Amino acid sequence: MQRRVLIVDDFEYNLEFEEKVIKSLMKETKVFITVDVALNVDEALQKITKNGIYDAMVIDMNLPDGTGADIAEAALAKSKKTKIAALTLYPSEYEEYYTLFDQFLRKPIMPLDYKKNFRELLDLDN
Amino acid sequence: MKKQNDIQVLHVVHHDTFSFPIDYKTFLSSLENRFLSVPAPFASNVIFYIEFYGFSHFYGSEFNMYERDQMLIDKIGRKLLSLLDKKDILARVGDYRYVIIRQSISYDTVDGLAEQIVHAFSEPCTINGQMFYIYTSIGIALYPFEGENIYEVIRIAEVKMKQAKQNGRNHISTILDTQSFVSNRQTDLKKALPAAMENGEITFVYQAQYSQKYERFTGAEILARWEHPTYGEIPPCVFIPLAEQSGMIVSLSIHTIVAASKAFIALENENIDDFSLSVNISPLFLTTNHFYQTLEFLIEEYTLDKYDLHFEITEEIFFEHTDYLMDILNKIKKLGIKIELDDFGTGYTSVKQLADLPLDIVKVDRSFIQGIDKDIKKKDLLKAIIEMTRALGIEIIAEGVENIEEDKLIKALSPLTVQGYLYGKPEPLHDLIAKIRRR
Repeated sequence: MQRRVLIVDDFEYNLEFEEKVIKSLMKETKVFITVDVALNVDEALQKITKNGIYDAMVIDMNLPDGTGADIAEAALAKSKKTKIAALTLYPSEYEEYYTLFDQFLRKPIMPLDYKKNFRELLDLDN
Repeated sequence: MKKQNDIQVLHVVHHDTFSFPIDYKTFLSSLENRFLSVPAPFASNVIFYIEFYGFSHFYGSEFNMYERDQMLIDKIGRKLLSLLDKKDILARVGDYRYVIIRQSISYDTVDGLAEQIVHAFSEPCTINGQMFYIYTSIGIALYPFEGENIYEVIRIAEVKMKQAKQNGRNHISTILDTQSFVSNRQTDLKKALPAAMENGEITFVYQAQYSQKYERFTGAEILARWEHPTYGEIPPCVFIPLAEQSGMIVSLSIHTIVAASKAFIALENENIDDFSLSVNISPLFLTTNHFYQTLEFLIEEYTLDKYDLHFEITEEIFFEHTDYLMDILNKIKKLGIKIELDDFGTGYTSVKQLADLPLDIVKVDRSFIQGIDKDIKKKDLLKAIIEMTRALGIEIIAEGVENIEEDKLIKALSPLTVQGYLYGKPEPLHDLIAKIRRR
């Protein structure tokens, strides 16, 4: 079983951390997950245009050149099957965008919580 | 608490001139003007609120009340003045209550003066042939980090002093235990902390540890620093408690462990091996539900098992959760991490606990080390600690070594690993690496 995901965050520490959590999850589930990363909206949109359909995305809502909602809209325009999680320090500030996302996760990122939510996002237990 | 106008400032030692007595409001107003004229972050000041007590038995029939008060005030005042610098402000704000304001350039030892005061007054006093003890309680607060004006910060220091007094004789309090007394400034900083981690405002510095036996640097302690865009460097004694109160301490701890992994790689790239890095672990992190699984994840994914990682924990952690802690500490050790007991000597660890706990190292608190070359009691105490820990198979790190005399005396007792300003202040990693290379 293989999956392809995109993670977007302007803080490189978070990108690396999320990649490592996903790598740890791969070992547990024996599911191979290709992880693409982007540091901002522009990079993310390029990846969405260039690559095939993503199974899932985890997107930081507060990016230097826009919000995570901009990325979610582009992803859903390509495929409504892409599962998308928003990641933010302040979920209540983005209430108007709730309908675009399957999950709204609160920062800071905790490994076990991230794994649990990511498993649900990718439906890895079915 | 007295109102501002009820308090008279009876004496101030400062390079400005005051006429005495002056009322508290005038005193505070002149302080505020002084602080406002210097922009942050350079107007960072440490406020010590001190109460002396316990000498009621001194009131013998041969003295009248006025005479005994005057003798005590004179004794206390002279002793305090001997500990202060020219730029310090000392004000007597009550019967046996004093405020000291010190401009601080380093927050690593913000309670250093407080420890000196407690130590200075721990010796019995003699007046007219009569010997008695004076007890001290000290509260410490920082301006402008803990309040928006100097009066608020002095109030906070007073509340901390009362906390310290409740904790027993000769206690110092830097942390406010009560949630009901939190300034707007502290609330703002607490709210800003999560974003601070994402904005790169939290960085890490390293304080070297030197082995007197091997005559080289063998490790370093990692310390977090917060450079706030408005207030400048927020002292750890301010933001660490805020992180603990807000739950951000777990994230901060994880960041620090990840920083250690990057530092190990950088050191390896410079061919610096056989080098340990110590991370301070908050009791609040250690006792979270998923602590061990989180740690396992970090060790595996950041390949920390191939490096010499140490966790520093403080004695206070053993007041509660003892069985759980024994279990978790043993598990941590199985992951290859060494356990250091920090600030040893300032808490209540019994000899039995020291023998039972899975400790690798004790870090002797700097209050036992500073001035050790002039204090035979401290020297004998350190000697006893060395013998005790050696018998238990535990190593020692002596903290707070600030000069050659202290260093020489420790080495003469037994070559130890030492940490302190003599071997370097906390510094960025590239500076630490350069220092190691120079040796």
